[in-house]
Amino acid sequence: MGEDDAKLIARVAGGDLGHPLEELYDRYAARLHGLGLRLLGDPGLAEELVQETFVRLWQSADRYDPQRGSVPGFVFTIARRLAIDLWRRPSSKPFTDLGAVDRGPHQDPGDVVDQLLVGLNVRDALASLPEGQRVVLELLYLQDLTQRQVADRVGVPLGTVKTRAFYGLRALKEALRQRDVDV
Amino acid sequence: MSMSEPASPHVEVAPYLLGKLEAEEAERFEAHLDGCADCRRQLDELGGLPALLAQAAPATPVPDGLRARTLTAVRERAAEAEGAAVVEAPARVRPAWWRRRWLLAAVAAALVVALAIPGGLLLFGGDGGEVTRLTLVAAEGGKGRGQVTITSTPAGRSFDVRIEGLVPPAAGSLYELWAVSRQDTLERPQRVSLGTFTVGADGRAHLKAFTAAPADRFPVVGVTLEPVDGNPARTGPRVLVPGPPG
Repeated sequence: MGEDDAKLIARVAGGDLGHPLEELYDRYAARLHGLGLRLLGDPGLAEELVQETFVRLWQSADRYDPQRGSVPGFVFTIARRLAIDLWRRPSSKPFTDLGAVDRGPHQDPGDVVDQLLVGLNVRDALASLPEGQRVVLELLYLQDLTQRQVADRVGVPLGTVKTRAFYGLRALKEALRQRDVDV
Repeated sequence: MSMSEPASPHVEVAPYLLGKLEAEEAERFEAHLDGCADCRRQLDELGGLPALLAQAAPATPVPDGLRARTLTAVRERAAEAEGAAVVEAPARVRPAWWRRRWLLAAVAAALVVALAIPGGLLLFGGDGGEVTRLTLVAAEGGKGRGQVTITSTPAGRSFDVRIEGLVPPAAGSLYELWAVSRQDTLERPQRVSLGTFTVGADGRAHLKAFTAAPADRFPVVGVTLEPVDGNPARTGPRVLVPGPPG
């Protein structure tokens, strides 16, 4: 995973807005953008969520204490607060809520954010796996193919499908742990 | 945790967990489990994964330019905080809400100009046009509602709107009637203002409006509450939205 997130935050706190900031963007932007799109149903608001999260991350980077929590926890605490503010902004509701989650009057936005983050973290963890393992897991589980069909599709022996699925699950568990998702 | 452990994995754990073993294979594996502590441990460690995998969000692409816009936004704010000028920085990137507000303002201003022909909100007295009726309901569970009768003619559409159940707007705000595209988003607004209005103490209003904005592009009718701030863009909350058909 390269330099660990905590060191990147420390460098940002020290005023380095070059590589450390870019690296943090690359690690977190997809999930933040996905959260904005799914929660708010509007591409502009999703962009706003990403930009403002990074601005606040920079502003509060010097307050990050690794003893008190993980970096994903720190980043998504910032994003969670912003996302709820955007959700509640009166003009944030398009006339046609295409693709956005249900905004029932009794829906607690905090719960919706937490629920969406689990799915986004799983997707992000999957995307971080070695290609061979990721493809086998997606075909087996998300597309519901048999092991034999996966072997034919990927062009590898059946034994390789089993091995990749096994190591893929192990790697997925570790990738989820790094994203603060309990398995 | 080492990726090379265990040296000789009992890899059937994975297809078993993912429900990919035939009944006979699954029975064989379960018999194997009885005598294999290593497999039982793996099963225990990985057992929560299938339920999580089922929740995987669909992959959505991140816009190409967002990385540069985000990095620039942070660097500019940092430079502003230091009181320093950003030398040769890319074009200033405003927060998305700021850009959206002014994009909206530009679009809406153009529309207002288009509507500001003599008799901007025309009373349409033609006959023989095609008539459509719509209902409006409260967007957030209030008592507001409306009946919209739209008469389409070659010149455009006239709207006869009867509103009831709205609270008179507070000083400094007005209701605004819109014709909206189904593709309308806050980022790419596709809507036409049909005028602003207020309601009496009885919560009622009777409005007449006219637009040549095509019905197939702007079929949705809605009402928002807007501040009287000189900004013609929609910035306020939805008040009335289309009700169920029929």
